[in-house]
Amino acid sequence: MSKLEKLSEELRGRSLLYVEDNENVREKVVSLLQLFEINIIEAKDGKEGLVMFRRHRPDIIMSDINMPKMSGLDMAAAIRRIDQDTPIIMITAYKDEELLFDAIEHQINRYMMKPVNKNQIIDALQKCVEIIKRRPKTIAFQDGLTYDISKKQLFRDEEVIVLTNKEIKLLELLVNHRNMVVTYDMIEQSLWKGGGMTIEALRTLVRSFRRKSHPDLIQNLSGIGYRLEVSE
Amino acid sequence: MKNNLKYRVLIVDDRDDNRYVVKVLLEEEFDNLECIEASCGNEALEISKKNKIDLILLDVQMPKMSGFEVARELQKSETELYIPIVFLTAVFTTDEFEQEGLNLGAIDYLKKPIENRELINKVRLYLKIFEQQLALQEFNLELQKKVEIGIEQNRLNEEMMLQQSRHAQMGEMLAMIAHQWRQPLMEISTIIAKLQMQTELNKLQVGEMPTILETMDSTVQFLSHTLDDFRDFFKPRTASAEADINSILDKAIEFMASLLGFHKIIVKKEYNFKIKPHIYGNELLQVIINLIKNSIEAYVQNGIVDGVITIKGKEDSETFKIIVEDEAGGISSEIKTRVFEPYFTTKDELSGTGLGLYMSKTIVEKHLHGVLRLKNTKKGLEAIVRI
Repeated sequence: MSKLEKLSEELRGRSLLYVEDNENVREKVVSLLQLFEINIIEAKDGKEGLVMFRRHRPDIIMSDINMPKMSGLDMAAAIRRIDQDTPIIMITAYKDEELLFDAIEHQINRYMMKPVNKNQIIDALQKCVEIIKRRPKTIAFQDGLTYDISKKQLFRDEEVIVLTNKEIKLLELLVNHRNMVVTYDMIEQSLWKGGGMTIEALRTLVRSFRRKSHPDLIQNLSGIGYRLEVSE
Repeated sequence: MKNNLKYRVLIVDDRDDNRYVVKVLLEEEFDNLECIEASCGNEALEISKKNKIDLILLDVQMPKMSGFEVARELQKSETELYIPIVFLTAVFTTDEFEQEGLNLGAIDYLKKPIENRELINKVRLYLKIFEQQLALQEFNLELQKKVEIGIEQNRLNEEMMLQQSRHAQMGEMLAMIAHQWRQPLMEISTIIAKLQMQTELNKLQVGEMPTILETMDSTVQFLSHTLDDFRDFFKPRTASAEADINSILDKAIEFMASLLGFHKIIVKKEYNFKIKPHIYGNELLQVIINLIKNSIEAYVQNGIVDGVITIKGKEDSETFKIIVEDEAGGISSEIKTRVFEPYFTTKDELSGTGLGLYMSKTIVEKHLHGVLRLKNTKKGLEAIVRI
């Protein structure tokens, strides 16, 4: 099986967000990506890309760097604030050393140079597939609790624990930032879209979640936020 | 021979004794003065042609040619025009004659009999005036030299700036070509990569081929077309020819299309010129590109999105006006007084050479014989080119 065939197989059924401001280029690249049986989500600038990322949570992000409204790098930075795992491919027109620093800072996984060629594309997608495969599908907590990342479900001894929408979102946020501090601001941003979260409402939510899962699953960092500790 | 001889005085009189008296008187009094004698008008003309004469003491009443006639003859020939003449006369002493003598360019009209002391004093005064004049002349010459050097320096400076701005513009154009080429190249390379992958995966669809090849072909045509345009732009200046202002403006917009598109700036065309003036089309193009670029940069710098640049045309039978108008906030009066200065820029050092508007003004004024003005409007800035 050739490298391309293998890649094609591994990509099957996955979703990819592609962000590019130039319509002609976008059309050609999408046409190429359609060779793979993947779900392609398109966006025409960084701002739209960020909205699409929040809405669809794609497996792979592929983005042009130089775009009006919000550049690819700014978008990557915004995405990384809510998600550290999804692989990002940046397409750039310049060989620029500074990009290397940005790559480290925003955890960009791969760069492609314009004009792209076949091998570049295959290598970049291959790299993304490896990152996805390496990523744990489930996370195990204490007391037989496990969390399925792709299904976004919490299990106790293989039995699903029914959670509310907000509880799932809170858990997802904490899992995405596992072993890190999730501040009140971050919670307000992803759970209370319009803002207006009260500490009281958050405490009620956390209390309810602890009751359903485990009292010690998430730690309280008084005045700052919460943290989910996982030994990986 | 006197060593420090400075002045040569020509004494013209038909009477030998008259000449002698004056010669002795003057040469004894002034040790830097030499007297040459002429006994008639013709001789005086002859001598003044061959020698450098500083002053002519001219008798009015002479046989054959009068002093007035001599003066008239001297005036005709250009080289002797500036020899100062002093008339000396015992007969023509009335005011009318004096007036005539002075009208002929004489610096003085002396009536005989004249006191020796008075003559000497007069001559001393003349010499003093000559000296001052000479100094003034020298000073003027010096000044003229300085002015000439200054003008030459200026010309060289201007040439250098022209060269610099041309280089800068070349650089900008190259960047613009790179910008315009990047996306089409990306399109072609993507199509190729797709075809390669399809081949490898045995998914090649022959039915798709005509469309794909057509797309590639038109993209290649576009690349070639942009290259031609830019090459034309840098062709050496051809003679002024009948120019189609509409197509020049269209071309300017086309040149900037990728930059405009990138910054999502719309250009409104409000022109339809009937006039076909004889001008240097490429230079007008250069100016318009520059003005559009300034407007784009104004929008980008002020962080205004969805900008509009309106290009308007107005004309009458002889002149025409092109107005490039933006809504990017305009410029402050402090900046406005300086924008036409060379090397003045409000942009960051990398993108602005500070020569754009200076060169545009120079081109409009010197090559297109027109006027370039900037005017703040309610929302932005209006650049008016009137030719």
